[in-house]
Amino acid sequence: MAEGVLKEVRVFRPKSLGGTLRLYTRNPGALLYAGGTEIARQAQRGGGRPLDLPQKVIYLGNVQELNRISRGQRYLDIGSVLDLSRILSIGRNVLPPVLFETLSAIATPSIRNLATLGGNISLKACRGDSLPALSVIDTQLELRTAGSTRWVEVGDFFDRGNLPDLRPGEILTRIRVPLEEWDFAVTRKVGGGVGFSTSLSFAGVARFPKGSIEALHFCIGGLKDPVFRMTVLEERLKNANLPVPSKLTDTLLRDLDDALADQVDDTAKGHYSRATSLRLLRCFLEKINIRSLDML
Amino acid sequence: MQQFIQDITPKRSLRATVFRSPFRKGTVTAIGKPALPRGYFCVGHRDIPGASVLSYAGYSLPILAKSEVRYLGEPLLLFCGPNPQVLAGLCAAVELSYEEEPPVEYKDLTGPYREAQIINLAHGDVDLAFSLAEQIVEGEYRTARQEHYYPDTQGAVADWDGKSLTIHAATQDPFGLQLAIARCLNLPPRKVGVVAVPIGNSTEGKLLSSFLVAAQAGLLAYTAKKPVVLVYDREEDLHCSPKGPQFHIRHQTALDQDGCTMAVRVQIFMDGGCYPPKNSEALHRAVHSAWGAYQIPNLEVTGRAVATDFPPIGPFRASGLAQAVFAAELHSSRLEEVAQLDSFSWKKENLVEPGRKEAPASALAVLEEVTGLSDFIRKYSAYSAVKKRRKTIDQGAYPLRGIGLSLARQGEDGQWADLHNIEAARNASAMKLVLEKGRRLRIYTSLVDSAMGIHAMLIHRAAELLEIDPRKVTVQAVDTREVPDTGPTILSRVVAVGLPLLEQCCRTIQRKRKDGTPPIEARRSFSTERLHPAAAGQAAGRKRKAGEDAGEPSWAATVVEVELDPVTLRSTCRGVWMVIETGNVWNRSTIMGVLEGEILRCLGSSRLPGYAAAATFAMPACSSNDLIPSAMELPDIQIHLMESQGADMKGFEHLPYLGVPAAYAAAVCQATGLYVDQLPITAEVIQQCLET
Amino acid sequence: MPGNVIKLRFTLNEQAVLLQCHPGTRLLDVLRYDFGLKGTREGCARGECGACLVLMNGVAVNSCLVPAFTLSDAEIVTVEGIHNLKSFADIRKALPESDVYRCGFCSSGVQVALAALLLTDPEPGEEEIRKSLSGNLCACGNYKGIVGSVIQRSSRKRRYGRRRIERS
Repeated sequence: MAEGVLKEVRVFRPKSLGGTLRLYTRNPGALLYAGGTEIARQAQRGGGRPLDLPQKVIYLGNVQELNRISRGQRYLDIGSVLDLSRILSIGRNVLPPVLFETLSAIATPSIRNLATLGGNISLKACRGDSLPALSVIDTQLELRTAGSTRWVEVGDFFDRGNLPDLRPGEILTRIRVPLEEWDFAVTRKVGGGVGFSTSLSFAGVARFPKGSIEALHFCIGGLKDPVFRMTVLEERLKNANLPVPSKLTDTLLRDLDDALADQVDDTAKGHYSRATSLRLLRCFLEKINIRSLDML
Repeated sequence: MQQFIQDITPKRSLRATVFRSPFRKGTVTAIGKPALPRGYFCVGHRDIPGASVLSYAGYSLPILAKSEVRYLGEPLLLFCGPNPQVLAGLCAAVELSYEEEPPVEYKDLTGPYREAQIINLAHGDVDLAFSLAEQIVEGEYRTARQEHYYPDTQGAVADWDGKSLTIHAATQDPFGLQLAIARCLNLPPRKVGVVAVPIGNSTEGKLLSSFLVAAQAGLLAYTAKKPVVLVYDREEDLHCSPKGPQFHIRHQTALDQDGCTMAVRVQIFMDGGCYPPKNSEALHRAVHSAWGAYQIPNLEVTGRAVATDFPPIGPFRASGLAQAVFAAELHSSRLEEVAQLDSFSWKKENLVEPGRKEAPASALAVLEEVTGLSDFIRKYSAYSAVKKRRKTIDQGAYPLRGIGLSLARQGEDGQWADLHNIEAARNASAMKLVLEKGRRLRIYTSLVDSAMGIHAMLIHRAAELLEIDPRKVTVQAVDTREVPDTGPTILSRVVAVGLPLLEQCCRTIQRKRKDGTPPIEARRSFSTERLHPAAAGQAAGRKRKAGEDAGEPSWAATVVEVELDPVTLRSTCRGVWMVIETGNVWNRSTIMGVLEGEILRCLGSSRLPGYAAAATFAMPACSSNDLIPSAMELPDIQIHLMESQGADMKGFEHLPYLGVPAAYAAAVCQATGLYVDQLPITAEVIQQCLET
Repeated sequence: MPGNVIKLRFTLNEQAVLLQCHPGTRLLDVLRYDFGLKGTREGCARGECGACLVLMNGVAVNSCLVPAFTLSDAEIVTVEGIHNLKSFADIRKALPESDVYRCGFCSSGVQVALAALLLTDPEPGEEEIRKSLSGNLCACGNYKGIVGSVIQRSSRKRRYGRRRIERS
């Protein structure tokens, strides 16, 4: 369409999930818009002109079912278009600490008042923010069409091209966060300042009753894979006695280093990401050692 | 509420947009303008009635490219009209044919490149000294291009009424702008009126760049015969406006068997960009400050501005000075290691002039004061001891700390930005004061209000001298038709020129007050020759001598303490201490606020990624957070002003730019045990140093 | 109605307003050009600098990132509203004086960010203030002056008769 003419943009504003799903089935090319912070950022055209939006937009902000949080004994279900500030307002005693700290560090207060967890998971520019924390606590994502529902783990949400692997007409509707207790949790955000996207992030959780590791998960964000987890390494740490022997740590780091070679570019930033990822894991294991001693 | 350029939208005004080159380097072979709807106008290179190249302070910049394109986003056409959407359509409809050339990607500036300017400076016998040296210490230091990041993007509002042009502009030099627009439109200057709008913290980015956008707006208004508003978007401004140049500086120091300096050889390469200045003040200052604050018996400095395929450069606060001092101070930290002295002791020893026992008193005083305030010597020793015991930096669980000290002076060549070229083009600087009834004073000056608190400074000084209530002192709106030309608004120039003019006017009013009744008017001016003999001399071809003083400098010693996270290698600043010897100071709170803000900005530019020229418009220029630190990064900043009673106030706004980066770099070097030789120092840079 | 224009009703500075515009029009442009409220400024158009902050339903948002189609039934308060509305009288007492700012470009965004904080916490500590300002860039580096002023002014005890905007 010629630049000189304002593009016709039709905005749908459904109020129910059922209505949204039916609408999306009929309009598969429509843009799903919730907080829209990243979309709006990329759609700026300057000169006081309207945002560059596609012809059809489905605004999800009024859809009740996507704007709720419900809490059960084992899970917290978070609507995909709930803004980050609202999620954080539940409090750090309810949200898993690793998720609370991660969400608190995303962008700025005003961005968190608009940005949604669903958007943060789906959009490439935001990948490094919440995915590691969600992955390590085994978060599940509900994907629905007008006629189906399925649940996937965070790590399985992306296809080989690292884009959300959604079927036609499918929408991310809920994020199910397990309310498990962990003995130790850490999240680190590296770079990005208070800007939009993190350059690198790390999340790790561990459970170690009686001086040996019962479960340990760690995940690195900001690499080529949206969710970089090495369950092979996690398995090798299972049942390891604490403190983790330095030989085991060195072996794990070597293996991680080999795997990271495919995850970064051969640039200064890539070298930094690779080296820092190793340091983050080492630091995580060292802190577990110290915490396990404190628990004696 | 303060009104910035984006807030000025006269009735019936047309919006404007710039059609820019989508490629970096090449030649436009044909440019097909679209058919214009009624009420829309287009201006190309051929439509410029007068001078098509802006010349200012030694810089030259085409208003619109004729056919040769030298940088991404170089302006090619201008459009204006009522609807921005239609303007965008017109830009999209331009048919552009061009032959693109691959720009040369510069890895470093050391050549071979076309040289735009060479400056040589020497005294003593450097070759002999090097041949006798016991040891030679070498270092290479790099600084990046600098983005001004003024909060208000470039913009101008122009209106041609058939007889004269009025331009509202966010500019630091209204009369300079008036001359530039008059030349561009082939009008007598009296037919161009410039109304200066308040500017945000510009770091001297509202000089040359403001002329460009105002010339573009003026051309459109002249063509359309209607008011035209042209304001650049942030992306456009980041991509396309001139930047502070990058530098590459090589130091070689010849030492005797005691580790004392025998000779210094310095090679300075400055990136002149694609339109390199023929007579660069920044290079001049870099050459004259290449050895820092120290006495060197044998010295040879060569400065080269080289033409590159990078975007254009323009004035930047302390440009040339800051980079030279950074290199000199960082290099001196290596010499300190060879001499096995701490930073404070080495500086004291090397400030001494041959034949004298004591270093300049002011320099010693600021050094001693800052080391005491910051507990520098104790911390330096402690951190050095930790560094010696440490094996590697990236395997520890404890933070890494370091502390750095730097010494700098502002004055001589650094007294004000681009003075020589500006002053050579102007005849005089003037100011007028009028004491009205009711003890009200009005100040008439072309000095623009800015983040530096210029107007507040003038108001308080006048109120103090005339013993009137500062609330009754106002500065007349800066309109070139109503105020005299006091010259460009640069803080140290205000101190050196503006304040003396104000003081003279006040004295005249005091005299006239005894016999006269209000209104009482006083007008004073300084000629260029009286103002700065060197400038007049330069205009006549006289060469400056090496190390020639033009007046007492202001000294500053800076200490920066940092802590690095051994996992992420990211630094936080634990504290900054700065002691400045400034002469007599009034309006202290304004000055302290300015210094604190500038220190924070300099810390930001020392450690944040900063600006990198993008290859295409599709890539974002850079994030604002890469340039400006946020409220979450507030170190403890302590500033102590050492006032010399009886001495005039001296310029100081360059001192944070001279002191902070070098002290920060020295602190990081101590914390990491690495030789980090570039700015900015990001975690990625530290990682690179670790791997090499 | 033509497809590229929508009709919106929302509240602006406690006044009900009606607007017709393209759905993709930014709230920033609606405020500046349709309503002449120039206090909300454009700094970066990327949500990084905070110059364009307004209160939307009681919380601070970057108006450069808010398209018009999300405004239906929203409550918008700009810096002009914070300066003039009775309901913000108590909050005004805690905001920095105008002479605290240097160039003043960031002042509107800062005041909105602080108002958003003060709506929920009338006597914030330094850390809370700095966090609330973490999305406001001051090119003059004047954070310390701003933060210090708020601490000083908000620490005085006062009774609130303010209207609290409840989040829905």
